[in-house]
Amino acid sequence: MKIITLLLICLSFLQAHKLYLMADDDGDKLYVKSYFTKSSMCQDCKVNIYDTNNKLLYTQNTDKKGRVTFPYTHKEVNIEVIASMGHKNQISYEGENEIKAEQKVEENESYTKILFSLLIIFSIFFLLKLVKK
Amino acid sequence: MHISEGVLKPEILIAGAVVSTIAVAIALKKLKNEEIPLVAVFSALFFLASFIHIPAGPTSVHLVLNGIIGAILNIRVFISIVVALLLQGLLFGYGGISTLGINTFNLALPALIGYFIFKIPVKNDLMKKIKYFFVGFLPVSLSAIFLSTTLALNGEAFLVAAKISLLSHIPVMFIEGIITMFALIFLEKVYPKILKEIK
Repeated sequence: MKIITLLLICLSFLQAHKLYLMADDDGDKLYVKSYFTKSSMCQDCKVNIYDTNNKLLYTQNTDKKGRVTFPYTHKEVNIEVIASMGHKNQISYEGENEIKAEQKVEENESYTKILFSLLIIFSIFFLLKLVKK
Repeated sequence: MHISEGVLKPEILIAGAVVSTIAVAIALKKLKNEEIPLVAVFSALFFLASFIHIPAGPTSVHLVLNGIIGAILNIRVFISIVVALLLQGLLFGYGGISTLGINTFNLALPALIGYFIFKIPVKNDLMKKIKYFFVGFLPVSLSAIFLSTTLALNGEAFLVAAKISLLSHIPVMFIEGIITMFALIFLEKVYPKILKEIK
């Protein structure tokens, strides 16, 4: 009984040292947070972001609050956190939001086309004016 | 309002192209040098109106403004609309080149109706506002009917599309009527000359 109790206590310590990893995005940035417990953040831990082909995209260390921010350029990524003393965790993350950078490029291209078209409209009528003279 | 490439039968495309070509030619002949800037501005307005979308159930429709453009430009509305449609077809894929004639016909001919409604003499302010509403409402309604008829003439397979295109433009008819009414009242107050420039 004493041995079982001792084992359970040891297991609870292991749980206390489990490295948790969370991620979220807003379409523009990917937010990663890592911690051991709610009061023990994973400070200065290395966070690696991989694409679905396991190509390393970004790497950065967490701050004192266990947080790090990356550009949100891929909807599906693998996030890995490496803490000291061999603690490690990895998750697959699929963002809910569309990548804003891509949307912005599409919008910018659309605005450019509209302006270009207006320019052509006025050019056509300018040429018509010259012809009519 | 824009029918895409590869949808319509050649007979409809040819008929639309012939009628529109004649109308544009007449409009070009009547067009005076000093009227060109005004026609250009309304061409740009028509072009931009297509980017203002209104949700209509499962689909979305866009503003047309052919009523107010027709009211001010008379037959020259054909030139404004054909230039705008050409660029929409080339750069944005709205409509197309082979459908340019029929699209122009469907949009510009009802716009002429807007001109004739605008010219109706009225007695009081309320009747004038109602008239201005119909300057916007009727041309869009007619354009939607023309579009629907074009699709229906294309074959039985297009009957459902014809009905949907007509029904989906009902909100636009009313919105355009209201916008045109306010726009014409505004123009009458700040720039009445523009309403009398082209005859």
